[in-house]
Amino acid sequence: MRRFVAVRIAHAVVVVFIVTTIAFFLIHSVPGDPFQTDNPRITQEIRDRLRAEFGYDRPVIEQYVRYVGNVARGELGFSHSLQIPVLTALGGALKRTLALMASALTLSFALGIWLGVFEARHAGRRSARVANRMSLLLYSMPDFWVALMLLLAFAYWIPLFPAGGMIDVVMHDYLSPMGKLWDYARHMALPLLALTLVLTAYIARYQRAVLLDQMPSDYVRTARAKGADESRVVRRHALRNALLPMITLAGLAFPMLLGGAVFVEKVFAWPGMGLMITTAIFARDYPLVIAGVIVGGVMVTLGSLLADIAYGLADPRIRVR
Amino acid sequence: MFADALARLAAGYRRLATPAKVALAVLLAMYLVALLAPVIAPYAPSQQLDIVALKSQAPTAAHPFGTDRFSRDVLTRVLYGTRVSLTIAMFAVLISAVVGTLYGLVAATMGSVVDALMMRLLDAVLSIPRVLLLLAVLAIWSPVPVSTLILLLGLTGWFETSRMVRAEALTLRERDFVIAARSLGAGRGRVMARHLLPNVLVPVIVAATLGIGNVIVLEAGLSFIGIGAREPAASLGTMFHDGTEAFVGTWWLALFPGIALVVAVVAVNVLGDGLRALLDPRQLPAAPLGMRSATSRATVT
Amino acid sequence: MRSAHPALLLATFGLFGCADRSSDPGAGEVGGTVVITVPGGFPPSLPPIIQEATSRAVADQVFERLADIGEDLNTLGDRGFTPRLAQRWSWAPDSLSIAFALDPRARWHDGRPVRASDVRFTLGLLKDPLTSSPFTTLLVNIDSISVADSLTAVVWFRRRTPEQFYDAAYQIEVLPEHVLGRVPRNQLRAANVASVFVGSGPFRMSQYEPGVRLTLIADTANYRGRPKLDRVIWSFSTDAGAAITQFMSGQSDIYDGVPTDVLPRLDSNPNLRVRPVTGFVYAYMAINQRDPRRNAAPHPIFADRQVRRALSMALDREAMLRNVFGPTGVLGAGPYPSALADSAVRMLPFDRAAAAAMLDSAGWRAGADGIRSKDGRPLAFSILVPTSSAQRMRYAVLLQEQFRAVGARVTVDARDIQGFIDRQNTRNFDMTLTAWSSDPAIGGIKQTWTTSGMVGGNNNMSYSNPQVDALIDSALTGFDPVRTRQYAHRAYQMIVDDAPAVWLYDFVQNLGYHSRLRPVDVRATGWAFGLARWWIPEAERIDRDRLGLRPPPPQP
Repeated sequence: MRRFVAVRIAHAVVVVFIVTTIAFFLIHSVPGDPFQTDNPRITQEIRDRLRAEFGYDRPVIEQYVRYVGNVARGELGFSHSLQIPVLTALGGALKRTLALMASALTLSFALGIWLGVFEARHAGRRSARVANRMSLLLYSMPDFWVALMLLLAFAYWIPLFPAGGMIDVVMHDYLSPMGKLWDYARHMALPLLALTLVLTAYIARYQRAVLLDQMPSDYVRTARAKGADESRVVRRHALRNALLPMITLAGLAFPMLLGGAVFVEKVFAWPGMGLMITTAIFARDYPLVIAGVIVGGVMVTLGSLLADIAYGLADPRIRVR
Repeated sequence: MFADALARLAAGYRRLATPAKVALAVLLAMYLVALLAPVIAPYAPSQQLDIVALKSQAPTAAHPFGTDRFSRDVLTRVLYGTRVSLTIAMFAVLISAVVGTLYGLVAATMGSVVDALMMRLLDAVLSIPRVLLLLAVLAIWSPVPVSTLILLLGLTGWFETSRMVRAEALTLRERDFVIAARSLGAGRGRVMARHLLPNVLVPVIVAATLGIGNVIVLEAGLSFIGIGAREPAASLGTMFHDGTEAFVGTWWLALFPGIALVVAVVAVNVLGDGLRALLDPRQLPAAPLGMRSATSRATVT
Repeated sequence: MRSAHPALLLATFGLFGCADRSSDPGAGEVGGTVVITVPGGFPPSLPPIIQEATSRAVADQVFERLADIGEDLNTLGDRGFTPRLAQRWSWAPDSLSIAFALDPRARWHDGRPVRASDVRFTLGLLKDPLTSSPFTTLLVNIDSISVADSLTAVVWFRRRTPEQFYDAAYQIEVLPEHVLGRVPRNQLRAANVASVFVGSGPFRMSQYEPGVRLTLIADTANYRGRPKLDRVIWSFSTDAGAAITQFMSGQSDIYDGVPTDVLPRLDSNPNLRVRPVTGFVYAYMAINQRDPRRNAAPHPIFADRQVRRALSMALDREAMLRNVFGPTGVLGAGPYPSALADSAVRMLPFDRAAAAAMLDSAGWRAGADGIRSKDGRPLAFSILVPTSSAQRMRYAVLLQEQFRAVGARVTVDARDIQGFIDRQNTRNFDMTLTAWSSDPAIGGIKQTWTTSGMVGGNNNMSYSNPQVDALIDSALTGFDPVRTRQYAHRAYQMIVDDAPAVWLYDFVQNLGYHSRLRPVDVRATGWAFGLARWWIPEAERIDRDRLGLRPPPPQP
């Protein structure tokens, strides 16, 4: 097991390294250097400091080595649109994105697995078919469109929730801890719902397929033969095995969620990484955009690393290899 | 060999489940209508009919989907937008399928060192969420013409396909007919082209079908943000981008393109499911965006 | 020309102040928090380098002028001006200097007294080329400021002019030398907002979170009495759509610039009010006459006057106005805000056929795809537009289509406000949809439409016509109202005929505000002018109004 983990971590490091390399060459596909902007708010002094920091006067290879070193130390450059270091900017935004994603992930796995089990258990029946079609429909909807429709419906036509942002800009600082929590919850409700709807649909479809795949297995047939009733068969036997791939899925739902978060955050003005990146695009704030990509890559790598390790713990067969 | 695969698909059509048949019909009808947009559509897509008298009109008999702020006919724009969205998606997926198949086959046949290198590289690109990668590239290069957009979508969408092709090819390599061919002196290239390629084509086609749905949604999202397709090649997503400022009062601007989008994607997904059920009943549903990787890793390594 | 202003101004703008006064209950109604949503969120600028309206509104709450312009907005002599930082003033017998006596009670927000040397410092800052202030051209007539004693600043003028008092009193927002003297002049734009916004005005800087919000809080120790509101917050949102949604859902109290499409929905909401505010802001599409990439070279398309005229004539300005502003819009009247317009100036007519013929004769011939070209170069260009302006974003699409109708292929180059301003300042654009808040005086013309405006002003389209320069100078120096009027008229007509820009509309901003607010003195020079006197009746207050001045409890 220890060797397995070590190998996986080594893989992860290599992956992050390649991501950084891609990011470096992306930055360098911009003509000139990224600090050659016509922005008068970047003074010559800042520009020189940044140039020196990134060594833009050196040969490309040396710049590359420096860049990788900087990234490894967490120095991701300076955001000219926000006038603060990229790391500071991303740090705050990342927390808010993670809060949204973690909630969506938990909620949609709970709902998705339940729905998948329901569909598998009642396979062939009318209720399962309806559920299956609903999840297909939801799964086919663009997340930003779901978000737009939710915004229209529940922030506008029936104004149950705030239309955007993460907190009440004025009152939040004055609320009690419980009040603060409630304030967060109210603001998070709609973006969370949008992300959860789409992800739940996907997980349910996946779960159902895995379960149906397990049903013809020997151990299920054995359990049936022993006289266990059908719902017990699904819950105790098929589900136990079908949950294994879900561990992997949890790690891999990250990129999907992160992608979805970009659009959903944009619609609801949720001040996370996605919103920061889309705003940075129009500010032509390349260091910020690129850093977003690196952080996204690291998150996804971490997610799949954790999932693999969890998988290894849960399924001894993996560890042997 | 393409003909062969297509023939197999065609033969399979009769065995397709009814929903998939309906989906195929819907999809073909949609694309046909979209292709004929210049003939069918009442107006030109960017034509501003009367910017004073006809702006932001709710649906009427003359404009069944209403008009937008610029007095453009929304029905016309949905027709053209569907054409742009579907075309972008199909070409992008075609690029993904070709690149992915080649990469996977090369990795599977060039020996373990090359294979390991190519797979680590694949892991890396798979770890960058596709949306973020596209955002980064488009942020730096935008505005890009449609052809570049197609290329970018295609070149960021082949990773899963290549992984699947490699897995498929690795198992095929151990099969008797490939071993036989090799022992008869067939070179790598010949084995790849004559024996491996035809046998991986079917799963590639299934994956590509499902990929179309993903790309439609992805492109719509990028255009919604404002860095995807743009005038004059407005896609369905561009229409949302145009509508966001005042769409609170003009619901038809968000609704009709949205419906077109959802119908197309649902049809693609139903068709994809049907094809997969037919060709490979034991396979799991296709993963959207970056999800496929680790499941295959667990079974292949 | 100048003598024509006061009557006109009275007629156009006098109404605003008066109507509000009647509902003012006096000093009793203190308290309340106002949230203002604005699209985009870039750092606010110090007064010498302000280039857009939000920064102006913020600065006007924090900093003060020597004297305030009166409600009739008179700019000639000192009639109507009310004391502000200066308690009183006296003219020298030859009118070449004015001595301003500062209010001895005046304090900076950090407690230090306001001194005459601060006034002198401010002029030096404004005139320093390193500052690159867009207001330099407006201050050429002020020679220097001397310090007679610590509370008396004497402003010296080069020439006697009708607007010299206005130039000194209104154009200079006094800055603290002890704070800004330390900041290098070329780094004012990058200075830390929270630490340099130290003024003497009714509100003090409380907190600035980049891209999120800016909070001003009542300066309770202010020498002129505290403002009625406790707190004013500018909340930045990503784009115009999000900002409007936040306003409409009650999360914010004020949104300046409600689009006409949304107006009907405001009518049906009892909590929201809207008031059209005419201003001195006029919007036009400037046409760059220099190559955007190499500023020394002429623009490959627009250097040709006939092409500019043809492209101007291809545009149905009236229809575009109706599309964007509905029936309430005010059509751009020429190189000035319509309040100062010279109605005798003939604008270029909308005539698509004539425009096409002119392009033909200029050598731009239509190809198979309908796009014109000349010597292998297509008639293709881009329009720069800020994403923060819903109106201009919309104009861009309308313009694109109208240009297409005469065979020009136009791309829309939308950028965030900072990127937009950067591009304009570096002259890196083909056409730009710009809006300029003019001085309520004829001198404002000089900043944008003369050769001198290319260096110290706002003429970033590099329009230069020596005849126009000469005529404007003659108009500004003379004291004979009839001659002045004639000079100015000829200059205006010449500018319009040269087509350096297309004048699209005058700002009638729909100021949306929550019904519990009682606006006071909403003026053409800026809706926020009287913000310190706005109030909220006790009975209508909501949670955030009852916070009082207390700071938020410390975070755990």
